[in-house]
Amino acid sequence: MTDAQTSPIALRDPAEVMQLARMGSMHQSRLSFMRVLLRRLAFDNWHFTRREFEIDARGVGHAVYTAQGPERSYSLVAFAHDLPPDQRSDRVIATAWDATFTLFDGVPGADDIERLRGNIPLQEAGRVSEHELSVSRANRSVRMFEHVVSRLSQGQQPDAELIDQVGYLMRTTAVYGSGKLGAADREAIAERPEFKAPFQLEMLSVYLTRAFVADLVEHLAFARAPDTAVKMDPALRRRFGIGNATGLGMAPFMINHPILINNWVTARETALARIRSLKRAPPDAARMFTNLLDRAILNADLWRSEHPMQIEKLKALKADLKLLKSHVKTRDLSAEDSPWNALYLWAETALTLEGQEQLVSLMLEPYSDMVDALSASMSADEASNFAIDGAMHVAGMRDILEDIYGWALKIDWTRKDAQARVWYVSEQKLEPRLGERFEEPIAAYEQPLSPGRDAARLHADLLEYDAETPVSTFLLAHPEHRHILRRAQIAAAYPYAEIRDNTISDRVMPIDMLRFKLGFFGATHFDPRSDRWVRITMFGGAPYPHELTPGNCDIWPYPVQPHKGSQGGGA
Amino acid sequence: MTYSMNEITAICKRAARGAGLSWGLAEEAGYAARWLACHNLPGPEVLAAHLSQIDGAGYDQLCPQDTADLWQAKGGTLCPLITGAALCDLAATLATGREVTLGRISHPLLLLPFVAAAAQHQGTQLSLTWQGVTAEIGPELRLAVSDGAALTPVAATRVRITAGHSGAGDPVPRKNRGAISPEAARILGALGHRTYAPDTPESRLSGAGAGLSDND
Repeated sequence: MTDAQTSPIALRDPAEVMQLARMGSMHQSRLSFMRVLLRRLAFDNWHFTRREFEIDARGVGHAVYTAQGPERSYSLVAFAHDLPPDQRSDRVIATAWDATFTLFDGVPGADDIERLRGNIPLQEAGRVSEHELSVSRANRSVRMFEHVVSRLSQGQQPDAELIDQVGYLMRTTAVYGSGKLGAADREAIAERPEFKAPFQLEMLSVYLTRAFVADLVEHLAFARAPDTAVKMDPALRRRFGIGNATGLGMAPFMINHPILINNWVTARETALARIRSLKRAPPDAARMFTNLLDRAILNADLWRSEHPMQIEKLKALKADLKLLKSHVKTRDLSAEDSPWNALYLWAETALTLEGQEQLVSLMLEPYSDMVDALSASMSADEASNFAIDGAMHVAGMRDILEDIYGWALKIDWTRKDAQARVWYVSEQKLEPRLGERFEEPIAAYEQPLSPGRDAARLHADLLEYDAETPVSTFLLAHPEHRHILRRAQIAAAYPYAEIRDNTISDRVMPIDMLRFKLGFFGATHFDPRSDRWVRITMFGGAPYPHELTPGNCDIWPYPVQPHKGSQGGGA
Repeated sequence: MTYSMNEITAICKRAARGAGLSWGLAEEAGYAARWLACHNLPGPEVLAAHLSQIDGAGYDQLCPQDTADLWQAKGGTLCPLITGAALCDLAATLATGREVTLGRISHPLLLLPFVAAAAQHQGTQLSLTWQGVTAEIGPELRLAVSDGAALTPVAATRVRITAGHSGAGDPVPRKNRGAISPEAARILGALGHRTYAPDTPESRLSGAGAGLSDND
């Protein structure tokens, strides 16, 4: 289908889509990177083998899991440790973990394993090579891990309710890729078909980590009580995702990769516009939508958080979904003209941002043929637009700023609340942090992560120049504006590149940025621990590598009622 | 030990910021060091030497006073990062055949990435010459060098940038991995360290927002 036939509805306005409140209401969708990965692994018939599993009864040792694709193979090398509780921290500043990992490019030999054993457990203090694609680590959920090992060792299954409460046995606390700590650059592998979509190797590493952790608890149960231990029931086992704790580092990433962010959002918005433009919804599409709406309601019920903001958002989401369900019951989607657009327009007036964005994700579900191929357009070469167009006139630059940063030009930046915060990097393990500009001596260390304020400053200084002056002349006199001028030119070329909100105000919620990015990853059960720190679940409900088929690789993120069948049922 | 190109970019950008350049120019420094390392040229080493030299100097001493036919710095020696960025900003006029002559300039090797960016931006070929070196830059880099040391002088007294090319010199192959000499790594690391805020108990607790137990 061509765009001309299917896209009379325009893409949503960036000024609306790129506000933090909406970005912070993101839900996983068909275009999420975990789902893109599992579809590829299943449809390209990847094979998985546990090549090594040398772990003792205390849980110390190493394991190797290999994924073999049509052209290449990749191996997760896992090192398991015996960590004292006083060292267990999800923060970047931690120095020891329950398990550490790397994704190896190919199949590692014994010499590789030994080299990695001397480096991977050290994480940031170690060094890897171009043969490694990622470095990551994970900590146990102590209560869940011990519960499962204990139950299994006694011949019993774990408590399903507790599984739903926690969601995972271990949570990763960093997954480094793209050249970090000496690993291969993304640019060196970006042309491989399996890595065309963003973050595929990171997601593969996490997916194999989940398999390792499930094997590990069973191994430890048998080590504890070989005579009575049992394996986990496969349906219960699938309920476990792998957790993740993510802090502020993700927020600078988003601001520093404007073209990438644009391409993610453009793909999702293009998909939405295509579906809204459909004149008819076939009955099977309408049926799938209402079925997944029920499963999204169950997902919201299973989603727990103690954070006051998230509790409110969850309350709103549940009310939205209830309203959506009763509204859908009053209509016959397969009999109406332009049913999806009508539903979307209704939602804009009737639902909160949570419900609106959940609806967007649900509307894409029945249309794999119109949506999935868009994932190929979600990567970006940020370097391609690095050069500034110095021939642009001051007038043109001002027009760009007034168009994209109009909201920022209306802010009184002399007010303390408008620039209350400072993004900076701590000397301790280079942890990204957010501080109080007027209470801590940190302004001198400010990172350039406040595009709105910087655009307003640039705009003010441009007013001193004649409209016809090329910006090359302006920049020679004003090197302090170089980064924001470059950024504004990029934002002019890529409509969804810029966040249309103040990232340093006293009210900024960094978790909004984290949720946006994690939603594109495919994370669920977003559970903030503060305004700048969040836990999530990845691959919860997904089939394990040995179970993966084209029939179950796709709609696993939506839970099903246990009595209605096993988790992760087919599309 | 080799470095990834993303590491080289990050280390060099931080160092340039630590040496006092604006964020935008620091981005250019990271780009330049990476581009050189990709072409098997000692980008991080030359950048380390240059940043050591300009550390503490004011922008107005290092930048071209004007961008007429002969570019010169008030302080006597042009900074190749500032000058390179300004050249790249004039990519459109360079492509139309305007010649630029630079007066005394520190570490001219650092100009190459900027002339390359200008050539790429305009889809054209540009040449750059200083004593003992001719670099032709289009889709690929070709270098004609009188001797090894000519590439990395501490300064050049005259550099010319012209449009077009003659096909002279040898093509320089590209690489995926880079190197940083231990001495350069030390210098760049020390400069970069200045961009980090000192750790305090308060910032450790509140700055990243945690404080809850993770043993759950």
